Amino acid sequence: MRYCIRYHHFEAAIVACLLTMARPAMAQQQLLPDQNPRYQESMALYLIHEDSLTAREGETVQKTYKAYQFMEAKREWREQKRQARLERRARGWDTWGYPGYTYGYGYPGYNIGYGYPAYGFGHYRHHYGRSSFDWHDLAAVTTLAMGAYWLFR
Amino acid sequence: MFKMNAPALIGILMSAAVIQGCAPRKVTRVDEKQQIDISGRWNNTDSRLTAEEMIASALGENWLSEFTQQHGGKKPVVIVGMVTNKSHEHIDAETFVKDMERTFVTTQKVRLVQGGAKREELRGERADQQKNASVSTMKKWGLEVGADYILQGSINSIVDSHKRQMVVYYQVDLELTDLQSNEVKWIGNKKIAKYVKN
Repeated sequence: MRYCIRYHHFEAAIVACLLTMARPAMAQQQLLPDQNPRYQESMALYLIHEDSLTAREGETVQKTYKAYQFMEAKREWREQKRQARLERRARGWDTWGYPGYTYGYGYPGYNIGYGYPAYGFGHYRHHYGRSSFDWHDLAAVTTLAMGAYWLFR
Repeated sequence: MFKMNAPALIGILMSAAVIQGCAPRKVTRVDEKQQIDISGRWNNTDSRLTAEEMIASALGENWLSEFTQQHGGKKPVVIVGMVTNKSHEHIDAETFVKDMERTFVTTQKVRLVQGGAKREELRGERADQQKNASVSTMKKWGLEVGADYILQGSINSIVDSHKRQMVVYYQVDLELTDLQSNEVKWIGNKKIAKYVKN
């Protein structure tokens, strides 16, 4: 049995060698004028992948990019701010005043002048520290101030 | 005598702002050659000016006549290679490179061969024909036209800004290189400088 398998392997190898040797000769015979003699190499390569290469024929390939639009950027920035505010509200008041939290940390109005006038809206803003002025802060500070006033007057 | 108090004025201004905000968008078709600069970024006018300059330079310089003289009247075959955008903006070179390609084809001074993904698709289709098309219509391998030159390029920019002022400079360079000798035969460039004040 082992001998048989070895024999078959040997036979297959010889056939493959003969085919490999015979192929250039066959190609030479069938070549058209000016035809590349190594065309079969390319053909063999493309015959393997032809399905994937022709699968998208007649299709419009979308390679789009998002163009910068002032109004759109402004709308997105507002939406982002709104989402952040909602998240802060959802977290509740118990986290107020802890360092490291965005909420209640920093100075009102700080960081609003980070934008470069020549380059769009909000690209360079609101990336560092506190995002912007928040009505929550005003309410909290007013409440505290009024409480302190009523206590110590 | 009509007297306007402060609340009335504020009310009118707010109403005007609301009406302005609700105004429908107006879109009008304009001539493609009309220069409209809005943001100061790369736009259709820049692309058009680049294409015009490149076409005039590529078809008007010596490399073309030299090639035809050296090759017995044969037209050079060009393949479009890679254009690298090294600027600070998204710029698609295809808008002006395609204008050049179209001029090459329509004037019949330069022959063009397909490259990149389109060439892959062509070869895929040819491979498909080997198994599915009739023998008489099946296209053969190894008969593609080899390019004499490759067109490559780069887009660079320099931005100088201070406060509300900005100067943007674009330089688009395209070059044709002989595929046999690696010799650069033609370099075309277009320089565009813009002053933007916000």
